[in-house]
Amino acid sequence: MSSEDYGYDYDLLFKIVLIGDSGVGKSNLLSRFTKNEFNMDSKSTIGVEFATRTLEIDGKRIKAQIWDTAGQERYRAITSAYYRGAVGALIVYDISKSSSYENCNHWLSELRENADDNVAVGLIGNKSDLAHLRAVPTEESKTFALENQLLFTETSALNSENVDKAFEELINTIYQKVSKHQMDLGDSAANGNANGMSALNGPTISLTPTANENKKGNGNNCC
Amino acid sequence: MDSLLKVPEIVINIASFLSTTDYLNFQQINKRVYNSVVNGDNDSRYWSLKLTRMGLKRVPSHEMEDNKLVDENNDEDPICIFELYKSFTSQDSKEIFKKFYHCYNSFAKKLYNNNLVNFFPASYSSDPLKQIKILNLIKRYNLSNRNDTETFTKIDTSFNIIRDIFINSVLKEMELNYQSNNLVTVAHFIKVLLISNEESNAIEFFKSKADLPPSLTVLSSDDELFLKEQSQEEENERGTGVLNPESLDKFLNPLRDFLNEKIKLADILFQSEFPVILQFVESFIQDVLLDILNNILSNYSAFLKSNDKDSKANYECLPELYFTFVKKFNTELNDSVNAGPTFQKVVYELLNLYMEPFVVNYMNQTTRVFEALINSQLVNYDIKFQDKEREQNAKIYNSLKDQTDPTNTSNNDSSNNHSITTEISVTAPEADSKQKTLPRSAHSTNSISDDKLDFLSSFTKIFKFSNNENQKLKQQLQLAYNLNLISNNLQNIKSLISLDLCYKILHETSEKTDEIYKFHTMENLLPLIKLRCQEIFKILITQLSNNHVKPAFEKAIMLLQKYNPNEIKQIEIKFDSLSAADGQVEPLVQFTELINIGDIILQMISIFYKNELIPKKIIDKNKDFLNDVIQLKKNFETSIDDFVAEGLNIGINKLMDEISFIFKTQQLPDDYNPPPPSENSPMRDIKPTKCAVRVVELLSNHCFLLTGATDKGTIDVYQQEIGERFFNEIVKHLRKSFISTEGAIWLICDINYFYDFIANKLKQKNVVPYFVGLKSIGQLYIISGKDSKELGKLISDLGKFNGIFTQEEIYEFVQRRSDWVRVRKDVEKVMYGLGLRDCCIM
Repeated sequence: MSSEDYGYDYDLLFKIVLIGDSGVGKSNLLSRFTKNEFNMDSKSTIGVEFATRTLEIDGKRIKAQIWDTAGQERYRAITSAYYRGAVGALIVYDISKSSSYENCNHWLSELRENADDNVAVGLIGNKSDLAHLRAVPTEESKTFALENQLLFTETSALNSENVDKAFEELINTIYQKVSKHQMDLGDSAANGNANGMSALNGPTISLTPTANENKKGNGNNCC
Repeated sequence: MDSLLKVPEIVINIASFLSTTDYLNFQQINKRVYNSVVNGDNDSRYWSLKLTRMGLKRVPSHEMEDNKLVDENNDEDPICIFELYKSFTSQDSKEIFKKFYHCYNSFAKKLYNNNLVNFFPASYSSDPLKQIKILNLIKRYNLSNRNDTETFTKIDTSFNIIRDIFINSVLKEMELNYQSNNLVTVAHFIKVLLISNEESNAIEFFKSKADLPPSLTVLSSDDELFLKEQSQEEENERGTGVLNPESLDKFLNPLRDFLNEKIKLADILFQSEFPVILQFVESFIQDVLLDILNNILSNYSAFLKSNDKDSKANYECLPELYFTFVKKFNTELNDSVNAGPTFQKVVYELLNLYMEPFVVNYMNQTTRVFEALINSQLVNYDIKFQDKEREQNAKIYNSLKDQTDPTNTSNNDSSNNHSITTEISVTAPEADSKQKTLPRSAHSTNSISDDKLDFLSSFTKIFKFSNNENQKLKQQLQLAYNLNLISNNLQNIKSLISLDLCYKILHETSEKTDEIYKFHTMENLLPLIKLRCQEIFKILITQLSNNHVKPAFEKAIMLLQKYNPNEIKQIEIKFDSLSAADGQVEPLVQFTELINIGDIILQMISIFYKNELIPKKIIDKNKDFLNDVIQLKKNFETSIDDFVAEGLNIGINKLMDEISFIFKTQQLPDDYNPPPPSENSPMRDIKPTKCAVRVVELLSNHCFLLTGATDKGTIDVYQQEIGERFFNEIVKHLRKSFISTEGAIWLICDINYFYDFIANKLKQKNVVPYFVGLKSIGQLYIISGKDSKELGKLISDLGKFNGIFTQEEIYEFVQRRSDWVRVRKDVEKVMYGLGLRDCCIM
């Protein structure tokens, strides 16, 4: 195996999943963020697609590996596989389609059920360019986000509005969680490999090992 | 005797046989006879008969009013009297005859007495025209004596004598005047001859003055008249003629001038009075021009023969001759008063009439000549091509041999090469005699093999020789030679068909068609012209097809079939110029170039057909749809289509072989089934595997080869076929892989990559659903083993897989999960209601 398959062109790798109803614009959000492209007549995603973009935070290169899922996937076994190992998620709805907003609850609970407890979640009201067709008031979503400890942004993949911001906020949040966790981890696992600390050497970011600890401490926060 | 006179019938009968003088005397024989018989009606009958014999018309009396208008002064002019009195009534018959008698009796008397001296009165002696007119009228007057045979015969005999004398002297005078160039006088005499009904003498005279000087028909020498083989440049400048135009002009111009001179002469001598020139021109064409035509044709035949060419192609010069003849002996002819305003047209028709058999011969000959010409060019190309190939093969062999022969590597003198070349051409590919001289040296070969291979060492073992065995070296050389040959020949595929040559041949076809079609003004040849033009077109297609395109495609297809990319890559000893391009199935690339050329040829033929044959009405699209020309053209197109289809099919096979080979050799077991991550192992990036990238690269290199080379339909079929077969290759590949839940993501990534190529690059809508199905198959592996029951449910949901796969197929796929043993029971329980193990217990 050559080094390029396992290259260290980044310090940290975050797996982020994009979820939400079919047709809310997940794929276009992703292509806007990773390739700055928008496809007016994109077809619905089949299975799952991947894209990456590397950002720099605190001098660290962070590679966001984003999984774009099919909104109409009804097999829990499949969606749960998508959530596996995700440290961040964006739940996307269409501001002009209230049903897609109402389903956010379902997506959130499915996420909570399958993903790591510590997963950072953002709520995205996409298609903000369709203000004249708005069906979901910003305030309502904001409240919902606040109640569920979600980040919230309204975006437009069409005109790029807030797209980078939404992803960057989420990645930032994940980064904060990870650095805090690694400090905790450093304290508790002093006997561990010193290199394990260094993200430079092999940044396998997984929150799972600490999930149980966190659950003990913050168990009440979630449910 | 007296009693006889009492019978009026007898008296009348006797009277009717009497000469004028005798009749008048008879009338006076006695009063009774006069009163009862030769008087009144009987008398006027006698005179009327005389007038009628002279050609006058008897009319009823009341119509004779205008006769009184005649100028009485002219009554005594013997030239005018016949004009004055053309008809008579029985009442004035005697009076009128009297006038004729008055005019002509003196001449008749002289003739009767054979007294021919000073026959004409002085007033006529200097005017032969008046004389001949009088002579003609005397003959007519003498007809009135027919009732009296003795008088009539006597006069007539004398008349003929004097007339002969007269004509002879006219001819003599004519000759003398012609000699002294008094053409006007000659023309005067001609008129005399014409008036005297001596046309044949007039024509004879003209002909005797229009004899062709024999020097004019002497042809120039062959070398002067015919052109030798022309260089390309010359050919472009002056066309493809075989006759030297200057020389031909030099020969024909005096003939044309001669003819023009005679036209002028005829105009002077005959004016428009008597047509002689047409007849003369006709016999000139018949006797002179046709002879010349025949001579040139047979000289040309001899000329061809002496230049080692087909002597039976002599009619190839006919179109030039024909049109030069028409130009010289029609267009450039003077107008003729003698022949009238239609002269040119009539001469043109005469020329066509007499040259038609030549034109027919030309048309019958030229199709055969054309076929031979086309054939020889195609065969020559083939021979050259084969020579070149043989030479290259020899070069390859020598190069390979040099590589394996350390003593020879630096010693590459040409004489040595040459000797081998000739021998190789005989012994290759066996080349046994050469083998024996090869020194055994594993050392040198090993050095050559270094770095040549980076994969498939197991295959190459066959070719590597561990010992210095001569036998192995021999085998290796032979194998390398064969493979290099195939590879080299592949490079030659596209030169199997020469576009230049095809273009040239089409051009020649067009020229030949034009050459034949030029005769279309000869209307009765039109059906033949069309037929011959059709034949030319048929020859073009048949020759191109049988001697060029078909063999080329057959050979290309054979080479395609022989091609094994892996063998080529494994050749340890390579000919310098050969480098198997990576990521390309070389023969397919070459073959598409051939398709492209084939397509261009078809288009050229179609353009020729549309622009030449249809507008010239050589073929009527509507009427002749059953015509064999159209059938032949269609068959040719179909045969190329078939070749293309067959070649592409083989090419696709090879492409799939290559893809299958990449799957087998480049897909690592860890790709979809990675080892469990250790503390130190870095996280693998989610991107298509190297193998998938290589496969898509290979596809991209081949899927679009046909773009622009052939029609959209063929391209679609080709691309769809590739898409479908590629799908099958993936399925085969998946059935051999092991995929873990952790590794599934790379499989999905690869499938996404394939899908992206099919849906967004290939854009063949029919194939996309297969890859949608594959995407769903990818999901079978990402599902956690803990969800085995839902996995079972998923497998049962055929709609999930786009209806592409049957349940059995999906079941087969799911077995490729690395944890199959563990999940199997649950899956089967969901699928069949019971696990297999449960069945066993029962």
